[in-house]
Formats: sequence, C-alpha cells, structure tokens
Amino acid sequence: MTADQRYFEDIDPGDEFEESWEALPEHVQQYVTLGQRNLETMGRFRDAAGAREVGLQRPIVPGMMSLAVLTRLVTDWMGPQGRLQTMDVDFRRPVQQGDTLRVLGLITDTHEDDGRPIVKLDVYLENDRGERPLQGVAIVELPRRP
Amino acid sequence: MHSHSTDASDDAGGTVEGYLKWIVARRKRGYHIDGIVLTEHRHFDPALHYDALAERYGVVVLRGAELETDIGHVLVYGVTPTLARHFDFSSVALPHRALFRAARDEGGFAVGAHAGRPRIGLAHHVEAGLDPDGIDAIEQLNGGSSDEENERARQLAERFGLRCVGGSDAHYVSAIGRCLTAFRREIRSVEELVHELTFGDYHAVTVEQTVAAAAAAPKEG
Repeated sequence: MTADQRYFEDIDPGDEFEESWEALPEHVQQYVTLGQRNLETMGRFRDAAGAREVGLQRPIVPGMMSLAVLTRLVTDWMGPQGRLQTMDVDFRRPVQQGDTLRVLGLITDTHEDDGRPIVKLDVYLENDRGERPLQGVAIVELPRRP
Repeated sequence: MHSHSTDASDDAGGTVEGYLKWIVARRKRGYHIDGIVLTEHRHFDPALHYDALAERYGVVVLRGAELETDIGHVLVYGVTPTLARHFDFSSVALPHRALFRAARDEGGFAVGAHAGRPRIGLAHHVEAGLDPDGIDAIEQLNGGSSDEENERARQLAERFGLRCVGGSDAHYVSAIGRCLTAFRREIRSVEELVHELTFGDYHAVTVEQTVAAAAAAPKEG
C-alpha cells in the first residue's frame, strides 16, 4: 500500500509517524521460503529448540526482514515522488518472533542540499519491553508542493 | 550523561548538532533538558570542543568517556591527561577497581553504565559474586535498556545504597534526553558536574518526568 504524496513544505522537525508490526512466525517462514533459503538449516528462525542451540530464548526474525519493514515505513510515508537516498541501520538486539513492535519515524532535520529539499529521519523498531532492536537514520528527498 | 556521536563512536548515527537541534525542539514541547554529556566509546579527544555549538543552541555540552572494564561499561567524567596516560582507553577489559579509584583520585567520577544489562552491566557481575566496594554510583535509568533491565539496576542500587544517574545512551538524535539526571544545582562545566556527582543531590528521571519537574522549585545557582 502506498501512502499519499508527502511534500517538503508540510513537515517539521519533531513530527512523528508510526505503524504497528506483529512479527508472526508464519510470516518469518514465508519470508525465508520466498528467499529460497532452507529453514531447516536456519534453526534460529525456525523454532525454540533451534533458537536455544545458538543461545537465544526464542526464535528470531531475520535482520533483513526487520529492515524491510522499517524501510517500507519510510517509503510509504514519503509517497511515490519521494526518493529514499540512504538508510543506515544499526542492529542492536534480535527481534523476537511473536513480538508486537512499534515501527517509528521521527523528523530530526530538514534542509536544502544543492537546492534539493532533504529530510533526515530517525527510524526504529520498539518492542513492548522498551527495547529498540533496530535504530537508524534515513535521508529522503521530497518534492515541493506544486 | 551518556551519549554517542558520529564524531567518535562508530555505532552512532547522531551528530552533536543534530542532538542540540532536537533538544531545542523538545524544549518547545515542554520537556526540560539543560545539557548533554558526550561519552564516546573507548575514546577521549582533549582537542574536541563544542563551545560554539553549545552557545548557538543554548545547550550545555560536556564530555566524558564510556570505557570498558572487567565488570562492564563505565562512564567516566572529568577525564584528565594523567587518567588517559595510565589507562589504555581502547582496551575492552580495563581493571574496574583501579579505574574507579584513579578517577576519584584524579578529581573525576566514575559510574557503572547501564547497570541492569546482561554481561556489560554491574548487576550481572554482582549476582555472580562481585563485591561492589569502591563503586558509588550506577546508571539506573538507561535509554537503551529494557524496562526489566532498568528495574534490575534499581534493585541493585537499593541493595547496596548506590547513587543513581540516568542517561539516554543516545546513538541517534531522537534518543537524546530519553533518560536524564536531575541535579539540584545548575551545572555549567565538567568540574561542576564532578562536584555535584560527588557531593550533590541528584536522581535519575525519564524525559516525561521533566515536564512536571520543570514547574517545581527553581534551581540553586
């Protein structure tokens, strides 16, 4: 789903937006299968026993899947004419399957770069234990209002 | 009391100016944040100064360091050339007793960082048998820790009568000020910070608590 078009003039530092994401085991299985990976060899994503083998309490979500969710938050927010320039993310903790996470974006700065309207955002996932497993910075170029 | 920037921490995405802009934006929304302390990982560069930025945005900017010891991470305020000479800041296993003692002897102050975290926090080591003798204060509220980990730190402080600071542990702009330390007296320099940590009255707070606290008694000058 694509959000409405976002324009540079309509945003301010301090603005926030968020979605909710339920990291369901069946979605992880689907993601790994679509990636043509063998779930049997990736125990940490498969089940509790596989997770325990590598010292984890519960099965986790592949990092690239979490990154995809975070990226989609930004691309949905910016709209079809927005351009995601960079997305720099730090994986600080595993995302555990079964968690419900807030997927958040916060505008931290707006400026012009060679005449192009640029928005800097902090983006992160937050679980209900107050942890932020993924945190990062996205740089987006937005169109000006016609 | 605990923040990292792109200037010297390789896992940080926030710039110092970004932090200050964000604090100005937070103040407009009613939050009370006077200043920050940059505590870069395993690093202290005496040549770095942020006076111009601090003045431009009206935010106090002080500097310390987050060092790594045999009992987890330690925040050091009041880093002196002697301290930097005696300890290899790039080490990930500094002897904690020597570091806490040296910081005190050198006129600084050391705090056990994110005390409730597994492995890199003090509580984990105390539960394994460590005597926290010589440690006066811990970071009880840490913006990067879970609620459970911060509660574990609170229990540790209560058990051993440790003093408590709060720190955002910010690596990204929007995390700055998430957890803070409320001091009774105004602080404008590292020397004043160390004095207040050693002798003053302070406690850990969340940024939400600063809204109510801002309306409370004025600070002593």
